[in-house]
Amino acid sequence: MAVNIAIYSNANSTSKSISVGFEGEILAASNASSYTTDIDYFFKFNTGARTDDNIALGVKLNRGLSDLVLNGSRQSAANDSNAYSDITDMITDVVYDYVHGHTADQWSSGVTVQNPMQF
Amino acid sequence: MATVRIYHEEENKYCRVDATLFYTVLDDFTGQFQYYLRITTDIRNLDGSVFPQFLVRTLDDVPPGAATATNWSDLVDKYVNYFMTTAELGQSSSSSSSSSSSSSEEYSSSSSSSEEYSSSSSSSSSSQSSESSSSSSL
Repeated sequence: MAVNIAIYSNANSTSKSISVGFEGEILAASNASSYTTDIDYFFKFNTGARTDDNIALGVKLNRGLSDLVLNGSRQSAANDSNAYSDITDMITDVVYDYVHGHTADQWSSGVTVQNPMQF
Repeated sequence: MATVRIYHEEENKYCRVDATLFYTVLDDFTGQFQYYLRITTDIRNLDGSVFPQFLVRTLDDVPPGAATATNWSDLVDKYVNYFMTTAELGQSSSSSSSSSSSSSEEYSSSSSSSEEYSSSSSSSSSSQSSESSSSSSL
């Protein structure tokens, strides 16, 4: 059971949706140095929206409050490397990243260019 | 929603622990929506009572007596372990009346570390004859 978050664009009079749920799955190649068959539990974000240059926005996972959205090293909405304070703080920042995107190496996180959400 | 299924070999039945994302306005906040995980189980306490539901907002919101979780997997593991050991799931005899004291009220924050959860749980977990398997469902 996932929670759907609607994002409305006032300028375009359209809305997009992001779903977020808490899942337990075996992760393959999850930025790990070795494989494991253990079940991991994490928050999973998904959306059918695309970037402003028409590229599908990917799935984002969160494994813990210190797993920050920009390469695990920085929050998206601010130049902050502190862990999220709670689940609400984490979800807010991941949604911010989906909607606004970020520039390359934003906050020295090493992320590549990603564009904002297309409405 | 993530569901952990626990197989009880002696009784040939499954128990489950569910972790579900919810959002609502909680009465201890000032009117703003908050997201949280709700941890529930159908495992029964030794006295037959149900476990309370646990509300999780941070990795500090662990079961009684447990240390802060390092990530969400660790947090789920701690709750599964807490339910299983408190209920002495898999014990051949459930005559013990110990340890499962905090029942029936809704629990929403990390507890005091003085509870006997960890100390009383080790013996029960080591002697469990049931095997547990976990799986997830969406």
